[in-house]
Amino acid sequence: MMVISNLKDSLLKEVDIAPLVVFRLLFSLVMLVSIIRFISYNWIDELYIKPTYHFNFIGFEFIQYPGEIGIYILFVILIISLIFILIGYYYHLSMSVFFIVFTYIELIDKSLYLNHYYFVSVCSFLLIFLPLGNHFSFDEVKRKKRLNKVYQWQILSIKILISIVYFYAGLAKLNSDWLFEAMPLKLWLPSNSHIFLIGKYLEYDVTSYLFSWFGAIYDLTIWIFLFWNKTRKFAYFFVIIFHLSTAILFQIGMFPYIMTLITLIYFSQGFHKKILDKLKRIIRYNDINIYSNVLDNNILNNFAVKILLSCFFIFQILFPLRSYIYTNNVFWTEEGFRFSWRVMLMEKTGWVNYKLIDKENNIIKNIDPIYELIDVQVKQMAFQPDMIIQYGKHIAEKHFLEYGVLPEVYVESYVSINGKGSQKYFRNDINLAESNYNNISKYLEMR
Amino acid sequence: MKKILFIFIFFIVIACKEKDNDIKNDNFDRTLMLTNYAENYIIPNYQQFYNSIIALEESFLSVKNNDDIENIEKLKSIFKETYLKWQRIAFLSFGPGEFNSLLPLLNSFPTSTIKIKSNIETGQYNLFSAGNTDAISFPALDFLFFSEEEEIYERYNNSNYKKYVADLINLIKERTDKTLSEWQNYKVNFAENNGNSIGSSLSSIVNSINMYWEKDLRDGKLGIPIGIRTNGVYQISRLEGIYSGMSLELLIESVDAYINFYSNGEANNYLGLYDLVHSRRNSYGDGTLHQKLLENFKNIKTRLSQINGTLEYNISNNHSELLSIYQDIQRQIVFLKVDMPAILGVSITYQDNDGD
Repeated sequence: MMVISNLKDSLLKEVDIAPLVVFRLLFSLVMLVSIIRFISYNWIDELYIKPTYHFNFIGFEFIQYPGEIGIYILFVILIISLIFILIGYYYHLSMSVFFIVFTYIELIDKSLYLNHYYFVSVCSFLLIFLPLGNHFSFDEVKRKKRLNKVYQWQILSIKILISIVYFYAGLAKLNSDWLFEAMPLKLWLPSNSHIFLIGKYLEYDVTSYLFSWFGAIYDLTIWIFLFWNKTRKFAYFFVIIFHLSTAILFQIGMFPYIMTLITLIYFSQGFHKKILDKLKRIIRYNDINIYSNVLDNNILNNFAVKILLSCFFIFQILFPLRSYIYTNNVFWTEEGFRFSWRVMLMEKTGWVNYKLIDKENNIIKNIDPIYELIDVQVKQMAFQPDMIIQYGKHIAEKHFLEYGVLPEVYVESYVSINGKGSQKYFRNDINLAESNYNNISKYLEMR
Repeated sequence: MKKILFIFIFFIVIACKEKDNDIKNDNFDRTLMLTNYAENYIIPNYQQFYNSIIALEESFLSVKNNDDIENIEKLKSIFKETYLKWQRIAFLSFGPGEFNSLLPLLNSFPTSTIKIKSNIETGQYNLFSAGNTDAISFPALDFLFFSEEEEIYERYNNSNYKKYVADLINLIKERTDKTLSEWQNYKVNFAENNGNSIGSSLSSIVNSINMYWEKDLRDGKLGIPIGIRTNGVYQISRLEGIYSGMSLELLIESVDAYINFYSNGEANNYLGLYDLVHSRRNSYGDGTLHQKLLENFKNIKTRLSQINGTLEYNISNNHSELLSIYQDIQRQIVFLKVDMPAILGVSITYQDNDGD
């Protein structure tokens, strides 16, 4: 009982709001950069407008590509909501809008799934329920009330979420390929041998083993050292080293920068207060009490929010574990691969070719997806069984619309995992038109 | 902290000891490989192709002056030679070859005889307009030189005809000249861009040879004509070089070009993709990937060489053999598009995109 009441006291302890305010600024700025980068690379056009077919998430079929104007509107909404979050104007509403629109965009096409996009969705959901916008913001001007103190749990929850991501990313690395074969790093590192100074060292096997083990240990433990006062600075030095090297070696976009910046949340209140004070001085923010300091934070500390966030965290802890329930090799079947922080874990490539048979109309067609899909889609669908099925069904439906007959659709497919040589993958005797998504591992060749 | 570091190093030592370290990761010189590609394959082959076009131009000039049988036969033979030489560079859709749209401009087939005739008749045309893509270059010349249709039999007396042919030859010549001279400058960047990310020279090469192998070679030269995409209905009119009847030769030459390009002159010891794949761990079943790729290319070439008669003839009379070769060509895609890029750390996409 003592422990629980201590824990309760500790969670409800009132602490300075500075870490949350700094987090709001960093999160919105880095996301603004991400979104603007995305737009400036013309990716809206390349990845959303160009494809004539989009891979829905199973269960989220109601989320459809909203058309050319629609997708642009969504991105504009993202930018506006981020600016509102940055300046702290209608914070909760803006964060809700950001969460919904960002998640909507991510759900349009599975082939564009990235773990770090998923993290952004999950994180922004949590942020809706935290009081990030009631200090150093337009909301406080509007309400003439300022929030100076928040509950300990409100800061802690962000730290826990980041810790979950790291821990599961590390847990996924505890497989024999990663640890004892140094795969896929043995494939990825030597191909970076052109890099100035360090390049030649990347060709040695020892380097790949070092990186593999360092990466696994880093992911599994870094959050512990970040939590711990004594080791925090040292740990953050490793955060920078780790994410900087992944940024140099791999094409993973903004992810390293996002992680490096948001892990600052682990630092002390004092640290964040210093940053915030500096910012306040720069913009001549009036910190003297013209407003009441007692904005009520209880509304976010009520029973419903607590239950909701508890469920959220239980989900975050349990959901990535589902792949460990399936007995099959997750690299092979991909069951439970997504939404599990399996980040940069394997080199898997594939190739598919479909055969459509319509006995009634005497039609046999070979269909290569390269003619309908964009590169990224072809690349992704070729090694993910659910997408192989999805595209097979799509071909069957298209044929049905034209001829009124549901054809049989079969696929010939090969994949290569961690450079081990391509193998036959999806069974070629499964009629995809009549397949379902519950039996995926049965549809695959034995490994 | 020290303890942790110690444990960490301990594990690494163990991990390294457990596995054999016998396979080397050579210090493979990718810049040298790219330089070799530029200097010993790409530029010489563009040059030879260009020389051949000059010869074609001259030969056509002499036909214009004197259209006796001998001159016409010579023109046809030089045309065939040039078309064959084109196969050696057709798949280089990167760098200047890509900037100048060489592949779509020089070899979009089937050609539209209706458009060609109307262009000649009116004498009014813009060869670079999108609508004329299928009325120009090799496929059009193939028709103009070899078709036995009566209307154009009087060809060399028709000034519009002569002008059209001269314009087509000129188009090929100018584009090639431009590409060739751009390569002289481009080769330095090409060699220095020695990474493996999207946009690097290696990535461009791997993507380009894959794209051509799938779309142009497998489908364009063989699959589509033998009816793969049309429910088994033959599309003989869609053969490459249908009028000169050299479809098979063109296909064989194209596969041969892949053999040469992939091994980048086995005999000369120039570094090429073969050596790059070799420098990586690449066991494949009971063999190695670098060998397997080469064997498959050679096997496809051998099988094609054993075919008697034209492709046109064989489509109707030896269809199952062509289908079986088609399967071999398709099977090679798995090695080219799945296994090779995985080992080289190259991504099969032209789209710059984030991964995680």
